[in-house]
Amino acid sequence: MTTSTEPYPIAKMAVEFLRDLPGFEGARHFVLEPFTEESAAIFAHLRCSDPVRLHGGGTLESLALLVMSPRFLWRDYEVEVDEVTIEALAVSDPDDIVVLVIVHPRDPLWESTANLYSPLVINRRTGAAVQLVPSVSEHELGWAVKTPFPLDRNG
Amino acid sequence: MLTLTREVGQKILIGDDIVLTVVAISSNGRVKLGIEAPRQVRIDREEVLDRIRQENVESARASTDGAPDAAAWASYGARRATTRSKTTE
Repeated sequence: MTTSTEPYPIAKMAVEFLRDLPGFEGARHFVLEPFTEESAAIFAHLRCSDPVRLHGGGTLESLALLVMSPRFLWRDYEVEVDEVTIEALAVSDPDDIVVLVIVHPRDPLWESTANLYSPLVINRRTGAAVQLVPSVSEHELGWAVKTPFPLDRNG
Repeated sequence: MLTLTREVGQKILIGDDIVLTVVAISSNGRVKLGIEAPRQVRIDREEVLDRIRQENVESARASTDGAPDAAAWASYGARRATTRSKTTE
């Protein structure tokens, strides 16, 4: 199933990953909290409510990621979601799929990157989620782990 | 770690439903493996998963460090959303 959902503001919801979010052991339950201003709700915080250990050792006081709806900035972005993932997420209607990407914030803001290679795919009806791990390389897929933000130097 | 020596075409059975086949070995040392496994078994290249793990951790660290602040992101998001709605009209 290929999804190229039109961008829309992110809604607040509970999210449960079917496996630990890569890099964080025990990280399954999250709350998606969009930025409060409605027009700014292409961004959200994804806050983990589980105790988390870093993969390979070390604890983390709290885990919160900045995520965004990618189609606002990358209009030709499409995600191929494989059948096994569709089944695992129990998606029956393609419109139930929400695709978000994790932002790597940097200062200044326009030097930030987003991970368009391995997006988060969420069933908005149930909150079930996975982070896709593509079977092809970044080059083959055409989207990078560190995809630069479109240039916007006005702030 | 269990180490086994195999020739091209030979297989290794893991449990009841996973079969690993050595398909080809090239002169530059690359080994081509065939894997038969149930659909729900995840098969990942380690270096790909490692890159995603590393990026997730770096992104989380950068997010908790708080740079740039939420107001800057809100402003950027609002401007981008406005641009978008204008261009689609």
